[in-house]
Amino acid sequence: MTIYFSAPKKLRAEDGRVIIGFDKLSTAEQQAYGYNPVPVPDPVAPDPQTPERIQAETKQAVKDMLDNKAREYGFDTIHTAGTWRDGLQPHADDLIVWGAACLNKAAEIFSDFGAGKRPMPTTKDVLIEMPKFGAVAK
Amino acid sequence: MSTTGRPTGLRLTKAQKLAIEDVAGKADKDTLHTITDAAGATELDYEDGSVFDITATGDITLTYANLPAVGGIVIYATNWGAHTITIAAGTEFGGGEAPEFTVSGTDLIVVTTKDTGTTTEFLVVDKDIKEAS
Repeated sequence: MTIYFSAPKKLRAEDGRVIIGFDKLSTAEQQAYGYNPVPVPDPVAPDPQTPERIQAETKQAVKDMLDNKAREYGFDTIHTAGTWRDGLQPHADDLIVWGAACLNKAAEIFSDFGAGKRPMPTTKDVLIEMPKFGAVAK
Repeated sequence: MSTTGRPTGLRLTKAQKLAIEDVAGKADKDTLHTITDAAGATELDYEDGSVFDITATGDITLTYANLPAVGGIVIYATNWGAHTITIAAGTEFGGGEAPEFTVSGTDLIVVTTKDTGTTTEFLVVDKDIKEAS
């Protein structure tokens, strides 16, 4: 059965008559006045959280985290940092080493999940386990 | 000097008074015209009176008949908000906004015209009229 949004309380018909309490009329009566009831859309089921989906979301979240840290040191992205050497731009090497460590850690987490060593991680779980910037040795 | 309006001090014979009452459209406007179970097409005929007490028991399609060139009617509208009320074309409302009526209670309505009902002004004077609590 189709469910409709409530019709307006008042309607001015094409012939100029004013109907007060229009919402009290049946759908068929409302349609007779030229009003088209607006159906309420069916609720959309959320996409299932598949491992592939979580992995893709996590990859983007890690990339965003790396880019945000690079911006703190004046680079546009983590990739931009890789084009600079220390001395010309301080922290470029640190960012690259840390970025590589983060990506390796994320890959390790998903590898462990694939091997059945841990339950499916959430994006938040993965970000918590990322190495801290500055704690990674060159 | 000429004046307009009702002449004062005019003495009519009983026959003259009865003759005036016999003129079409000159029914006693002081008589309350009551409709206790209004539903469907409901015509308010000015010749029946100018004050109507209408209790809605179903959806109403309201029309007017024999409205004067200039004048109006008063409606005591009871429970109109519980039903669908269709008002004739050519009706104007305060602020251009059609009113809502009281679901269980009486609203006081004035309908006026200055063009024999071609256009009417539909004014809800007040809603849910009752004694002060």
